Parts: sequence; C-alpha cells; structure tokens
Amino acid sequence: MFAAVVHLSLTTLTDPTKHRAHNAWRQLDYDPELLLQPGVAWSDAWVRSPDCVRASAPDIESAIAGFHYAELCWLRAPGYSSAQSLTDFSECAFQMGRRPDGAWATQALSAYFVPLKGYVNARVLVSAEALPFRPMTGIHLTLSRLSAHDAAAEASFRWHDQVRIPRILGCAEVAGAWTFATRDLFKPERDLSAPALRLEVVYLDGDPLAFAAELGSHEQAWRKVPANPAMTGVEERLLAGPLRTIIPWRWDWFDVAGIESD
Amino acid sequence: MHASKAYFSLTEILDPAHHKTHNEWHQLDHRPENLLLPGVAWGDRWVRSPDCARASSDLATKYANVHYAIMYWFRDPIQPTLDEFFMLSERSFQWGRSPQIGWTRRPLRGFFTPIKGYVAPRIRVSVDALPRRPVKGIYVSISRLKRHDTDTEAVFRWYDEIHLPDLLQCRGAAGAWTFASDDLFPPAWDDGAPPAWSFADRNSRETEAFPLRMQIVYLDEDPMDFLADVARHEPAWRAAGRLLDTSPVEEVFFASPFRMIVPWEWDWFNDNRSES
Repeated sequence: MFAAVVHLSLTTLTDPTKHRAHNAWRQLDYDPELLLQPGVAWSDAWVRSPDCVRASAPDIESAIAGFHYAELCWLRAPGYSSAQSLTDFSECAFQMGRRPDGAWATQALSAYFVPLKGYVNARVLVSAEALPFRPMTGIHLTLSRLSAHDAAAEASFRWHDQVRIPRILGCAEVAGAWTFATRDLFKPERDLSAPALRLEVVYLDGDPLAFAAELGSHEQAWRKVPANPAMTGVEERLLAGPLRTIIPWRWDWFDVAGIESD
Repeated sequence: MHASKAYFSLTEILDPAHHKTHNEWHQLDHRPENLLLPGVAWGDRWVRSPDCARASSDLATKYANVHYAIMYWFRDPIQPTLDEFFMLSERSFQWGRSPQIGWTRRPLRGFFTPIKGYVAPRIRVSVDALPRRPVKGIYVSISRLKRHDTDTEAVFRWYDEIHLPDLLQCRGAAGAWTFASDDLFPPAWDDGAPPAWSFADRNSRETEAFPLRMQIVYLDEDPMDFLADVARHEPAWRAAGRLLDTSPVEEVFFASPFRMIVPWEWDWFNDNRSES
C-alpha cells in the first residue's frame, strides 16, 4: 500500500472575496511545495461550489457546516514521520510568511484516517492504488460517525463493501472509491466507546451533480433495506455531497453579480 | 534535489483520429500508474497545439509534426527506479494497455540529468517545487552540443548569468530548468551493472550522435504572450550586448511552446479531422 494514512481537511473561507486568492495561494504556492515532501505520496483538493451545496444533504454538524474546500493528502509509511513532516511543513510555510490563508480561512475539520480499501469501476483500467492519481471531474464525499464498535458496526461495514459500493460502481459517472476509518481506532490506547469517524470518497469522471442525483435515487431504495446501517442507527451521516475538481486559474465558482473576488 | 534524472520525449500522433484516445490512454490510464511508482517523483505532459506549432522556431523537419511532450522525473536510487519504470511499460503492454504503439512515433526520447532550476523573483516556490506548480504552458528548446570545451562552457555561463534571468523577466515566465543528456554523466566506475535504460532508449541513443542540451521555461500566462514579450525585449537585449550567437557550440533543432493539458479538454486538433 502506497500510503499508510491520509489527512483530510475541510476549509471554510470567512471572507467571501478571497476565493481566488485562496486558490492561487494553495494551488500555485503551497501544494507544489507540499507535493515535494518525501512523506507525501499525493495530495488533492476539491471545491464545494454552490451547485454542489444545493446537491448535498444538509450538513448536520455545525462545526463543518458550510465548508468550501476539501483537501486529502496521502502520506507514505511510516505514517507518524510523514504526518510529522506535514505538520512541520505547515509551520515552516507560516514562518516563511507563506500562510496568508490565516486571514481568511478556518479549518472546519482536520483529521487523520487510515485507508481501508480501494475500488475501481470495471471500465476503469487503473489499479485501486493508482485511482487517486487519475484525473477526475470531482468526488462525492461522505463523512459518517459510528457510535459503537460492535457487531452491528461490523455488519454495516460489510454492507458498505458488498452492497453499497458495488452498486455505486455501477453508476455511469463513477471511476472508483476509497474508504477510510479514523486513525484513532488504530492507536494502542484507543477508546472503543468513543464515536468514530468513517470516510467514503467516490471518484467521478462524469458530472458530479448527475452522480449525486443517481445516488440519491439509490438511497431512496436502500431505505427499505433492513441491513442498511443508516436505518439501524449505527451510522450517523455528518455530511454527504459532491465536490468539483479545481482546474488551475478557473476559480470563479463564488464570483457574485459579475464582481470577481480577488 | 528532488530528482536525479529525467526522461523526456516528443510524440507524434500518426493517425489524427487518435488524439482523444491517446489523451484518454495517457492521462487516465498510464500516467496514474506511473505516478504511483515510488521512484517517479513527477510526470507531466503538454500539447503542441496548432497555434504552438505555428509559433515554433529552429525546427528540424524530423520534429515538424510533434504533438506532445512528456517528462518524468526520477528519484534515486536510479537503477531500481528505472527497472520499475520499464517494467510498468512492458506490463502495460502485456495487460493490453499500450494501444498508443499503434498510432505514435517518438522522434526524440532520452534521459537527461537536471542541471539547474530557476524561479522568477515573483514566484515563491523552490526550484524543486517548480515542476509541480501548475502551468498554462512551457517553452522547450533543445540543441545538439557540437563541442565540450571552454567556448561551450562560456555559452552555458551566458545562459546561466544573462539569458535565463532575462527570460524570467518576460511575461508569464515562472521559472526554468536546464538539462543535459545523461551520456555526459557516465557511471563513476564500472560495477558490472547493465546500463539503466531500455532497448527502445538504446536505439534512440544510437541515432543521436551528439549530446543534447534542453531548456524548459515554465509559463503561468499564455505561451503566445510570453513569446511576444520575448520578441519585444530582444532589441534591447541586443543593444545591451545581452544576446549571444551560440551556433559555434550548439545547433538548436527544436524550439516550441506547448500548452497545458486539461483532462477531457482534448479538442486542439478537432478542426483537422473527423474525430471529436
């Protein structure tokens, strides 16, 4: 496995005029240096444009509600030293005066996850590990919280692996998917009574909104399936919705009334 | 340095109906698998769209129909890295995932040693990060080195101290890298290991009698705007004695802009053929 751990951050811009500045900074300054770090295998970011918000389920957690960007960074083994270098890199950028985002952005979520399993649609020829490196039009991101670490939770994971994701892979826009569990569960001192985060990223090579609509119709049908963990109360959905790929210099999703943000 | 060697090739699509399938294959299949290899530090590809072809200069006939440039950067240790790189190439063929062999020709391919990176003063990334920074295009020039003497060294000094800094003052120039073909960097000693290149590369080496020098300027504005600004500056450079006739030591045989390739936006050649 090319990565031992991933880091997910959800970013909210507090100043709506800074979307272009934010993307210019991240895409043309921060990420090129980040990708150079030896522990960083890959990194990507996506935007939750207004049309994606409209196509999403309502955000349940107030802490992450209304986020604008998701960033996922894949870190090589050994995971701890790679994560440490990620943290050190962030501080070094600040010390060099290359973290202007502090003036306009807050992190709604910053968390480490362990990759569980990758899936690819049969028509997509790359391996599951190469999937994150494959261009995409967007992703569909689902963040859930599991309240227990018991047989019901294990059954829900089996349902995801054997029912939900294979059906998702049958959708026209889907290239593949990866699942992740919070790194908290992989620590020796883990607390199995604490709620645990679970992440599903579906990689799309068609219209992200079309996939969201198709998934929505599937989920309507799955509500009638007793094994669906969303129906058993094992899993609480915190957020679910599409995000778009960020193409360099095309940062106009939040421009309002013909006035570009800077 | 983030990479000790680089692979560069120029690709021509022999059947114009295959530009879309070529881009699908490389961008959605082959490049992701290559980027997964631990020794591959980075990989990129650019298109020589029709307007870029028209803006080319110093072009030998052999390269007139080049459509794409591709580059991979490799980490040390180089031998296992290249083993994996070439194994993927053959595996792809054995998987039935090398359809490009039916419609491509590579008039130039080879291994280079990175010499030096440059960034424009307005750009804050390091030279090692520069290849990972998004571009709107690049400007590539490649020459054959006729000599390896004090005059050649003086030309390289002119590039380093005068010409590249001048180019980086031009519109859209974010930075640059220079390279020399790795024939000029022989192994320190013979340890009995076979040469770290494939049969395909050995064939191209045998047809290339002179070592090559390559320069890539990374552009974050339209390549045509960069070229226009270079042309605008040249009279002043000439008047100031900042231009040099390098022809005694090198033959520039390829100089062309290329554009960035945005996934699924592969329509540069649609006007000339039936495929869309």
